[in-house]
Amino acid sequence: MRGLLTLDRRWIFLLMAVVAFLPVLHPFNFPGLRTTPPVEAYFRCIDSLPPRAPFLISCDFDPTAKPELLPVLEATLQHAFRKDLRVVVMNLWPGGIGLVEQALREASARSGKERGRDFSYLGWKQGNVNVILGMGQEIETTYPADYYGKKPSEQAVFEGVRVLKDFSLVASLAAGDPGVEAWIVYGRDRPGSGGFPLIGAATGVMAANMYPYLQTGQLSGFIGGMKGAAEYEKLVGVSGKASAGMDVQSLTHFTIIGVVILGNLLAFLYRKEGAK
Amino acid sequence: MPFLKRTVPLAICFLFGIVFLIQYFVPHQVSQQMLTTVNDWMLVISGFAMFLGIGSLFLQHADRIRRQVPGWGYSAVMFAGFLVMVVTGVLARGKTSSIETGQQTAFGWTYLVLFVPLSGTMFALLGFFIASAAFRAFRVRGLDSFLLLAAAFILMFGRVPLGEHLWSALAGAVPGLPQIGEISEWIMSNLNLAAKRGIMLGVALGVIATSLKMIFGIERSYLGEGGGKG
Amino acid sequence: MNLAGPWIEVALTLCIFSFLYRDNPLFKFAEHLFLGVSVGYLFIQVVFDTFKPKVVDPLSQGHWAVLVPVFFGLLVLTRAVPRLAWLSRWTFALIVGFGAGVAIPSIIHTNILSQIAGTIRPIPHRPEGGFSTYGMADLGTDFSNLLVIVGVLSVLVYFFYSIEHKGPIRHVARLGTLFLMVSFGAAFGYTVMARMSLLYGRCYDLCYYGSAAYGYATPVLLVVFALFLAVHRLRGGAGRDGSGGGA
Repeated sequence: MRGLLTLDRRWIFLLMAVVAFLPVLHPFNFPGLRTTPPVEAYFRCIDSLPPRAPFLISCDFDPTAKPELLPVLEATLQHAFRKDLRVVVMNLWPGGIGLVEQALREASARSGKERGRDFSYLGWKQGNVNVILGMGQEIETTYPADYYGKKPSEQAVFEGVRVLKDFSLVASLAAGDPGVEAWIVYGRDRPGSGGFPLIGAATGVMAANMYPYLQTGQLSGFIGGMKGAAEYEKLVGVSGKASAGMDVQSLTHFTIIGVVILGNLLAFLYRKEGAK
Repeated sequence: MPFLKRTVPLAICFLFGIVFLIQYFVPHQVSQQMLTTVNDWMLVISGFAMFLGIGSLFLQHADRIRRQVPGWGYSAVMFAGFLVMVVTGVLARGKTSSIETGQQTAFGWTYLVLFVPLSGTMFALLGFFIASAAFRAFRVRGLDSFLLLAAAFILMFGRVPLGEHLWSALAGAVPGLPQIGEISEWIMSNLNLAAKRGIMLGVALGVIATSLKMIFGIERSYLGEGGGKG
Repeated sequence: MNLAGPWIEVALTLCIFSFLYRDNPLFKFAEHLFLGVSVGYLFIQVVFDTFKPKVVDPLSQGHWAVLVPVFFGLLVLTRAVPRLAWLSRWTFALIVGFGAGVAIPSIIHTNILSQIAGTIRPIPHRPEGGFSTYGMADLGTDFSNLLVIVGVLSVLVYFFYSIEHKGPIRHVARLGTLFLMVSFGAAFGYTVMARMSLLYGRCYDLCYYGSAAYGYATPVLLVVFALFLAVHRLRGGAGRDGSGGGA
């Protein structure tokens, strides 16, 4: 037993690999997924918008956050298209362009939406928070053309939308900085922005930092990590990758709890033994 | 020369810092136009910094290849990866799918086949290391570490369907026991919120102090070597 | 069906995961490829998504004002020439000055004033239906609001090093550390969730491409790489990693 304390860490790696692969090969479909108030608020913010309301989705992530945030984007697009919103999508991180463009292309094709009329993809511009700041001043100065080279002002989707505050709702799906916080500091809270409604989704690593903004109302709704994404998929009524990942999430969490308890038990037992 | 090397940059920093600090409070059209213009400059300027970074990386790896230091072949792999992306990117005019047909371009293909799995897996490695670290280092040694562990356990247990399902069976048997989801949400929205806000206020004050020191030329580290006070 | 993509994807994923066994040439290959691919990808995006629309197109339309940021941008590149490197300070001064000027009022508004307003809530708070409807839930809300005030203040005291932490200050600072510990624990729980999500993402792809439809890419490559690592180990390659010329 004492040997476990100095166990080669590769055995723990192997254990994690088995626990992570098992539910993918053989899904358990654990029941019990419950929705939480921040995710319900995220859902409500989109659901309560009138048809043709302009909705901006900023994808501030790259492939490292694909399992957590791509399901949120896919479900959000499906939700927004179902509500017949005018959807504008952009990136603050260059790494996500290919993933986001593909997700938008597939979601719009499924919903029968037309580029330029129902949705637009602005793509990415260098500049991080300066892009947010610039869009608060004038979108077309920051994005003279969309990803496909067409001016925003020539697209029906931008009708009545010249600056950030003209959007009925803005969402930031963020894996770090610039992300949700930057959208609050340099977008929503800037003078003249009118404190436009902002919702967010973030990776688990960032989730705990978002709660102060939720309480003040600077953030109107929030999805944290893949569990939050699965809750949102449940609310939207789609069975996406986040929901499918809940089996792995459940088992790996229990395994981590198990190894921490085991580590503490061993340390406790052999510390006592050592003291004798 | 000291005037051009030190005084001019300090004056530029001071001027732009003060002007755009005041600009926040001036909603006049001229003030707004000024922000729009200078902010747009930043988008262009920041792009040049990338070339500097790439140049530095290339010089370092080219030197490794030239001197044939151990592992120089890996530097050649780095260049090969760069070339693959640049050649396919130029041919596709930087688009992952064709503007005309919507078909995936070669650049889009290399992005999905090389960039996405490589970056995703690099970070997925951390999943294994966090488990190993938890086993070896996460020890209860007092009240502080107990609270840390307790909060982590509640969150890990309460933020997965299996945990919620098991707890709900327990909550059914014990009247008045709240759901684990509610408990973890309460921790996040109160105890966690209070600590995060305390940290946030401290960081914000620090950022403001540093920014003011930069504007007034007290903090000069951004000037680089030889740019200090001395 | 084009199998090249899935096979390359699986191979690169396994190359990186091979690091879990030990540092080896497969991992080093993938690591350097990742570096090159990332830089190449970013280069293309900056050129086509920023320089073309922001510099090339305006210049071709005769908008010469864009030469101002281009001038400052070019000054950044002087960093590479030691004799002229000081010129880059002008651009850095511009970036830092502008950034600081814009940040100060924005951060005061968002991260200080709004957060203070969020902390100072009336106790007892007035329920939607007036005080006559005040119940247990409202008592809970008031308790939570009070807890937030106590937590924020004690954490701030803990970080306030200008006074010595002794007497009552020490107790308040101690309370602050307890709040911090709960917060760090919660953050740890969420971080585990994030890391396991990434793991799930890669496991999903590996399993997906391990099927007959993709020529059993995952099991085949797993065996090939395991054999490679075994042979590499037997030939004493573990000690020579990085010492050879080839990749």
